[in-house]
Amino acid sequence: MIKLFSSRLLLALPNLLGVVILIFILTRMLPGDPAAYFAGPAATQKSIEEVRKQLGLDRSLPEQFLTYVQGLFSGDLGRSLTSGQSVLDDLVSRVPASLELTLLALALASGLGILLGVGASLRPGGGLDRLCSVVSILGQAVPTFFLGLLLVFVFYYKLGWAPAPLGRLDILYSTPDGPTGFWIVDTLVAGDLDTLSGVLRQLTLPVVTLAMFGIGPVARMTRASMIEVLNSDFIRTARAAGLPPSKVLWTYAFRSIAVPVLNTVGMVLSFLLGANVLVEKVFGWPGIGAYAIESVLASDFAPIQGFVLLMAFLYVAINLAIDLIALSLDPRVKFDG
Amino acid sequence: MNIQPERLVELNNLTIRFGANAQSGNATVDHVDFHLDKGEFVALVGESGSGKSLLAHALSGILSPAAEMKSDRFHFSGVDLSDPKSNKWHGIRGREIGVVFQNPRAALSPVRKVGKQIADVIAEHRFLRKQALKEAVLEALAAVRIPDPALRVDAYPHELSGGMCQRIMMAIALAGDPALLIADEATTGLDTTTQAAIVSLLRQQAEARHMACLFISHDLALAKDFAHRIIVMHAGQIVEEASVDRLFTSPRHPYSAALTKATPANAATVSELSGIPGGIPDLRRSVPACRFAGRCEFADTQCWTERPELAGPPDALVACWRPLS
Repeated sequence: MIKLFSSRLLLALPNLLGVVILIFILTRMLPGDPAAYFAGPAATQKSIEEVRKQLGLDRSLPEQFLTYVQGLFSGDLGRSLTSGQSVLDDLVSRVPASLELTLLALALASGLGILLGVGASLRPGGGLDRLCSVVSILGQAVPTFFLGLLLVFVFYYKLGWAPAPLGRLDILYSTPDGPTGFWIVDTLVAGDLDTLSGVLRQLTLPVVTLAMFGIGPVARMTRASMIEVLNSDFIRTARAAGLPPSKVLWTYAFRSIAVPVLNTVGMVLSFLLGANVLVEKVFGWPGIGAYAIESVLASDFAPIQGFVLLMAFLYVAINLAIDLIALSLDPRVKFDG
Repeated sequence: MNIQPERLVELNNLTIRFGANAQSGNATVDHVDFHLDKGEFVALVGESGSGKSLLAHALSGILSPAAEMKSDRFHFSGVDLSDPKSNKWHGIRGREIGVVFQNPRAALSPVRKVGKQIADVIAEHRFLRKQALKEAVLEALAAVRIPDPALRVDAYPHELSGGMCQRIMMAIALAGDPALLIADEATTGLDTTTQAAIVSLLRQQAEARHMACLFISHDLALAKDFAHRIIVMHAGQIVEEASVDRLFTSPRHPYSAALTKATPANAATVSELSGIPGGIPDLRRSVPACRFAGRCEFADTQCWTERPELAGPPDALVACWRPLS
């Protein structure tokens, strides 16, 4: 297992190297002169040249690349112009907010998607099957930011059931300061159920918004795989052996399609990380997505580079994790190398 | 003293239709009478598509919901099982009736250890847990002659040979200690030596446990070695039912006669082998009353218009207007 893990990790390295090179080239191709930005609006040609020299932008591209990579290794992602903070610190403080939102949405989407898909597969063409199609189509067709706004309009503005979409916690509560940054975990650890309920209330709408986007692919993959596997020989065996229907359905049928469903869940997680960017903006969520948008609007390049690199890392890590889980789920899955 | 053997299965006038054939009115299994005594070995033979497996599915309670089954009588050990959805099947399916399917590797879950698959069934029917369950699984593996049971319990089907998988299938079928074992083409797709081993294991287990056995095969030679009585099916109809000796020495239905002639064991050279002209009639179209009429050299108008009933002495029943003498 450890050998396999390290070999997969080695395979991931070229991917990351490619991303690093791509980000470097792309940022160098962006219009505008960073030196001019840094020097400020009142700068003269001379002071701009000085700043350029300070930033190392007067050197050759390979030289710059080397410095950039060296910086990456020492954890230096540059400095944000707008916040004045190091990009790494900004990202680290914001990642838990995004992950808490995304992972909850993923859990909801996977759970509902699997239940819906399994239900639909039991009676193709039946009521649940139709619901499954409707949810998939709507989830894919309606843009997430629009759905987010719609939910805010209905549940906050009209019905008043949901709290204002202004971040992770109402200002009435004191901010939890646990070690993880996942506020559900932190409040649970501290035993602060009152704050926990506040956290959950803020989470509900953005989580539902994101989850709606992910239910469709999971449900469709589950449905298609289940329909196929329910007609297979080994399900016939399990039925003929007199096993109870629930055991046949979950232990035999569903267990054997766990890998394609898991792969879809992994893909959905990647989608959600992308969709996150707009949903965070709609709900005033202080995560990395909102951070990236603000940076783009302010032409602040270092945070964008940091954000893209972080996303690339997350994608690679997710795929690695999915592969490893698949391996433990299905004995037939084998990796070469 | 004459002890009447006890009836285990009694099927009268069983008809199975599918939605697709409902229009043309042709049943996929047509007016089948079938009975089986306790401890009896019966073989059911016929070409592919003759309805053998469908009959087996009906008997083991796993008929597809798309199939529409009707019968005058469907009794197993005195229990009425004519409704495939009846909860009377609970406690019979897998417990009183075990099935060994063909293509054993596909018939086992690919992602569950074989020991676990056997354990699931034993736990369901014999209510064993933990240590007792573990021991019962090892016993079951030993009973079907799996070498090194302790080693094989943790294997997955893809790590075992076809013959080995078929033994696992048998362990699953035997897990409930059934009164009836159905072997549905259980040896198809295995090599000849493995076939012989599986058949002898089947016989030995069935005899040791006083089980009745329904052996379904298109291989006449295997059926001949195995059974006391042979039932020949053609296109969903039973055409002949006779003791093994009578069927092979003096078959009365032209189809049975043709089948025995087409069996390699009865021919010295390949050129002596004769095929059966035509194929199983397409049930989506209209078919003659005796469904063999279209392939039969003796057929006349009666064969096309009137369905022959199974008749004759108990060890030589035939459904034919022009039986061979």
